[in-house]
Amino acid sequence: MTKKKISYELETETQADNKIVISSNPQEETKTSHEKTLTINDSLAEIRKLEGVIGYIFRSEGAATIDLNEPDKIIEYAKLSTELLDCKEVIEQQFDVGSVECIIAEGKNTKVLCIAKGINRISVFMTNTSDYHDVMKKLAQAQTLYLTK
Amino acid sequence: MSQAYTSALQTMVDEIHKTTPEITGSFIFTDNGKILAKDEFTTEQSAKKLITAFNDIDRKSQTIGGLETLTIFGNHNQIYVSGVKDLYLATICTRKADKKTIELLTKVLVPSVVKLADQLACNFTPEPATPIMPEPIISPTEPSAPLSAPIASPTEPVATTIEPIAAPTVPLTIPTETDGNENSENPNIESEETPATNTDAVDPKDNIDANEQPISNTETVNSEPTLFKADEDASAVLDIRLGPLDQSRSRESQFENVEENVKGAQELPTENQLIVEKLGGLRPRSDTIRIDKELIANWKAIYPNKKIEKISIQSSSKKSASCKFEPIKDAHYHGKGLIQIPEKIQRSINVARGGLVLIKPVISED
Repeated sequence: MTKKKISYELETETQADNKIVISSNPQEETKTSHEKTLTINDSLAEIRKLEGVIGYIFRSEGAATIDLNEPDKIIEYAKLSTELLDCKEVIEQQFDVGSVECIIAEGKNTKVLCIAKGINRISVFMTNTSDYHDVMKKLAQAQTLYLTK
Repeated sequence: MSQAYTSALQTMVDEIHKTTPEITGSFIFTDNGKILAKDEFTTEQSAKKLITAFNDIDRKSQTIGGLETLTIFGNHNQIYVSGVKDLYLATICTRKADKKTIELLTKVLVPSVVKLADQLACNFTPEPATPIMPEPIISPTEPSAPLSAPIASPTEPVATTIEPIAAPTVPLTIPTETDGNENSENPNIESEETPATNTDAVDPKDNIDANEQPISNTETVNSEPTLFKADEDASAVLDIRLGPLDQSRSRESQFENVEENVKGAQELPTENQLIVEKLGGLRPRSDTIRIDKELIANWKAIYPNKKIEKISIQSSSKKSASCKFEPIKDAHYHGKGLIQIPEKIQRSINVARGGLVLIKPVISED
């Protein structure tokens, strides 16, 4: 039996519009999973164009895509996103809510929508005035595509 | 946080479930994690877990301007945490619950109730006692000058902040040339508003007469107790207190009497009612109490030539002590009508934190 060695070298590349893609680039990454990411990424790109959307953080098993208006606040946004998604488990254990579909945290001027589905974790940041339902719809479409493929 | 306040919140939390059966649980907590009110459907453990999670998120939410509301959508139920002033309301409801109803409850009704409870709590907090100048108390200096109203003598303790002196109940008549003498003949005639204690000796017929009489030149003193302060017009005080029976006395002698009485009253130390607060700190002096510096300044203004080194404290159980004093150092307690008393003195006069005490300066000659 031969062991497969997977290298998790982080590759960071800064693209236009402050978009940062961090991927662990596993050698064994299948074509299907790549398609999944692309599908959600397309959806996120559409969400990014919506009015009031500040940016998003998308984490998958081996990759993270961050697209934010304020690149200097990436760490703060990432911390908040992680904290929100971590509380999901506590809530599921303590309250009879079933499986947590999404979490919305509203601040004074910004709100964040977090969705955890399988290995994918998405946080979309937007202004308080924007409607998160539009974002949800776009993501739902992406997930449908993801499931049907 | 008073018990009345928390019980108001508890009632509200209980009522929420009755109003909207879709709400399966709700509780209110403070930003430091204390649960103030909780319904029977929410367990303490789960509430605490949610509070911990909420606080963790709040700590990392500076980028979004601090956490104000948190909504968690599950398959079956949803959790909604919203800030209401310094408090947070957590609501657990089914996914079927009407969004508008929930929003009305959490964004309109609950904040209104909390605001109302706040206002009520504020109204019931005792106002800081402010020192009042000693009142001019007129004692019957001359036995031949009968005063119709009972007036405290200077030897009796003067209640300055608590009980106002009862105003005379006699109808006040300002003697004028055109004034009919009917009223002066019947000094006991009182208006209908006169307290029963003073109407015992009055003939009912007189009352009827009094009502029928024209009152164009007659001023009747309101039956409500009135405070007469030293800075009020002395002549007005004179007219009100003395009435028509003393018309024979010369105006000058009346003025002299008033001035003497005002002086006499000022000799009496003022009393103030204050709320007891514990005197903490690293090394608090066990024989020194702390009071507002404004109060000390007032005493100095009232008794400019006197030396005040100690004050006398009297508790509601009539136990008193004399001790040194100094101004309150903590700005948090300024102007709240508080007195910081060391525990030792609190025990000796049998009073506890939140209790009321009467204090007055112990005046010694300079």
